[in-house]
Amino acid sequence: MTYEKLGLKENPFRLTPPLIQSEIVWAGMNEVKTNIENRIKIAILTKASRIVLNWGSYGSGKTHASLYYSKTNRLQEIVDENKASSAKSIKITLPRSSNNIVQEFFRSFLGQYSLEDIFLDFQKIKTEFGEETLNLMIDAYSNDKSIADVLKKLIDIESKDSQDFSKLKNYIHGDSTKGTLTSLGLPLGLNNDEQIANLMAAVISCITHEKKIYSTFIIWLDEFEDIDTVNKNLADRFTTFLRQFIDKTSNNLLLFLNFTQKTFMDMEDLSSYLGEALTSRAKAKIDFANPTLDESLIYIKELCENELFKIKGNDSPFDNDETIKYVLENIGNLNARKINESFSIIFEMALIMGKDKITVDFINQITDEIIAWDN
Amino acid sequence: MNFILDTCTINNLLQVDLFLEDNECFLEYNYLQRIQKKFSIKIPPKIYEELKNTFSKNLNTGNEKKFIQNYISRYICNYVDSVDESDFESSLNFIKVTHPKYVNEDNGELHLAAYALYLNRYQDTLAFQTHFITDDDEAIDDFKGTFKLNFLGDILTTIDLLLLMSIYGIISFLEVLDFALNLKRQYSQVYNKLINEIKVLQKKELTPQESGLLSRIYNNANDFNLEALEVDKNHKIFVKIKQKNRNIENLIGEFLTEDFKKVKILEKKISEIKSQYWDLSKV
Repeated sequence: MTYEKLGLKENPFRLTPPLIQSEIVWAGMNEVKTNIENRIKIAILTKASRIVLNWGSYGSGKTHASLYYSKTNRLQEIVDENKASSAKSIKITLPRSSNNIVQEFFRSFLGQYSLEDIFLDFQKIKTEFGEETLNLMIDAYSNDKSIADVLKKLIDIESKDSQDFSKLKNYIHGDSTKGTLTSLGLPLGLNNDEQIANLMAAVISCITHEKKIYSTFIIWLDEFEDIDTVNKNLADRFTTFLRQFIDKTSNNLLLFLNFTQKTFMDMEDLSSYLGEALTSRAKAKIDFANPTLDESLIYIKELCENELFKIKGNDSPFDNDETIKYVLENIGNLNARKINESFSIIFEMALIMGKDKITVDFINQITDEIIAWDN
Repeated sequence: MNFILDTCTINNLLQVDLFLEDNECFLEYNYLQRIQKKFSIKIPPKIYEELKNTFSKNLNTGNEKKFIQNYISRYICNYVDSVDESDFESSLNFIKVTHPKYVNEDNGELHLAAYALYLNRYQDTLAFQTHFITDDDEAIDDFKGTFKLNFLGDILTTIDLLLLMSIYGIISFLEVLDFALNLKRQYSQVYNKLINEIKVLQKKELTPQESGLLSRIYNNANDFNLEALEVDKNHKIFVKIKQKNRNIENLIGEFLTEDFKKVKILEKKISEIKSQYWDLSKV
């Protein structure tokens, strides 16, 4: 389908993230953006770890925000504005399908921040602070002798192409066969939830030590509301793990918990799942409120004007703002997902019907096709 | 004190308590046996029959099913009272005469009401000693008059039963709240299944219209707008969604027929307990 007729390179109202994730675009929704960036700024500049609850209805843009700050260079811009060291941000969806929920979470963590990355970052710490200090750091942050041994093994390795590195990698991914353990000189496999918490905490604490290599480590835990659909003991196990992990990472961690409101799950239920300790730490809340009509209008115009989508020199695909408003007034409660879906349909219909301008008359011809249109 | 439990209560007390670790099942609190140690749990044969036919409904794995089946035949069978048939029959007839809507509906609740009467009139159970435990608000409405007028005892919900147990120190107050939260989860399963299926489907490549219809279904389910959901199911685009996911139609069907009143009643109960129930831990 060619969007050129509408003066566009492609559909700006994407329903799934683009292939090139660094091209994820933020449009409008300025209040949410400011709130998130204030939180990130606080994390970059101050020491204490924090939990922030991202609260909003389905389709309000929480996952999008996680991707935007994890995959694009916006985070680096914020870091630069504040003259701080880099920040690391990763998005992990609440594991739901596995019998070993902590192991699955840890695998997702390593999927975003691999042992190769950790290895290279530890090399940087070594250069920055010296091996002796790094060893002291590892001892101080691991809470656990065997985890300290693992990390010391890692910094002793010459290159990530060596055999030892691949053995260590297997070990980190849960390989606890005798051969691997003996050759690494480690007594036990990594299969205990608390040890995983210790390992993650130690890694994050080391790489953010004195905010030198990284100023903050950000984790977005997406779809946290689904904790009530996870098998009861797995849910208990996961929140216990989360508590341990956060307790042990007392500095430089920012955890965003994405929470979609559901009819049968309210704030109090969430507190029960999180437990007293985490609830009392998750004081900050960012409200992904539904945008007003004017905010939605800005969102749409910014997307259509974005240079990723607009062919230079072309006019807007809409004849005027009134046309956009006419749609917005007729599709009920507004949220980003609904706007993206409705305007994608409008653009597709325009292409099918050979229109090069979206007008109120045209909208009136296709209201049947716009699913969200109020009858 | 006798507690006579309806099928749903027994299923809930077992299922909510079920723990699965490394493929091995066990009960975390084992409520029934703890109650039975101090009080007497009794059920008429009809409940046992219903139990055998329904216990697997919300269980997901073969291990869980096997475990509960075992538990039922090993422990629950001890609660079954082999009633004197002609005496029980006359109680049953009395309840049917006073509650005509149950004449053609031979269900567990009917049998429990009759059983309470039977225990009091034919056996040597004193007045106010038989308590009927059910979360079925229709049964509560239907039988509370009979229980009061005949001095049989009270009709209580599962949460009431556990709260009462907390007074006797059989479980803690916090465990009651924990149970309530888990029961809510259990009661909202049909809702969660539909919502989750839509979320998973939305991550796949869909046309804007398919995605739009799914969002509408999500919102209508979230708002309990059943009429609108019926309309969505007949939308021309829904045929295409069905081709991508066969399950979605069944899930909407289940959602439309599920009675979510129980969740709402439970939510009200939880907030009442939190605000008005006196517990030492609140002092």
